Amino acid sequence: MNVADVVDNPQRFEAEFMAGYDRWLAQKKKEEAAIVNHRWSPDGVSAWDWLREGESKMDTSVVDAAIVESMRSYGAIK
Amino acid sequence: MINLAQYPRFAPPTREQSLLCARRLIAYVRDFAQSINACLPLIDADRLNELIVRVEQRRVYFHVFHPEMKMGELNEFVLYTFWILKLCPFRLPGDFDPGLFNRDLAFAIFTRAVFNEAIKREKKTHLTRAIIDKLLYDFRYRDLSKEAMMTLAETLII
Repeated sequence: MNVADVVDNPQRFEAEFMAGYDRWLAQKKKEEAAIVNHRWSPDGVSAWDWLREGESKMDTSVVDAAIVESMRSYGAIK
Repeated sequence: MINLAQYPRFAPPTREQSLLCARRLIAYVRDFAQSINACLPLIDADRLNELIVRVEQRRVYFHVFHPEMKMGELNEFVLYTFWILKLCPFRLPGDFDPGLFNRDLAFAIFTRAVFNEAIKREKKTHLTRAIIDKLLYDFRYRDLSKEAMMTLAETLII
């Protein structure tokens, strides 16, 4: 787009701007659609149910060992 | 331009909604602490309410500005992680560094969310001891943005 057109040729300016806007919006929608959609907890509470669902299948031993070591270092675990 | 008057204003969760959320969060923290024989912490109610409202604000933000990109549970727990690190709502009685204790609790929630998401996607995680140690340090001492932590959580799922 030409800066001068905003005054000298407003119709061309508007046409080019609108075409650019449509292009930008289409590209943005394409980018957002490419992002994987996850389940969303609409009520802000059921996410905790989601977290608990998988607990029996998780192996958190390595993570927990590190956390236990950390907590022992400052006395949160005797 | 957009007429802001046409947009709804964010209203914080009601007392009952906050209580529901608080119960779930605290019950999870309690269960985790008990599972590793850690002391059960005290809670700063003001910081807890601030945490709940800030997570809610971000959920609404996603709904308004990124409706095609659902926030998802993994990102929601990244937000909990972020705000626990920032606000340190939990503390131990006595002279303990609240930063370290909240870091450890937040890290437990963060990693469990990553594990759970990996299970749902039938993938594995890349949480080796070396990476865990690095992340524990980063969560305490580095400035990680919410978005960086969301991306980080994703990259741990392989």
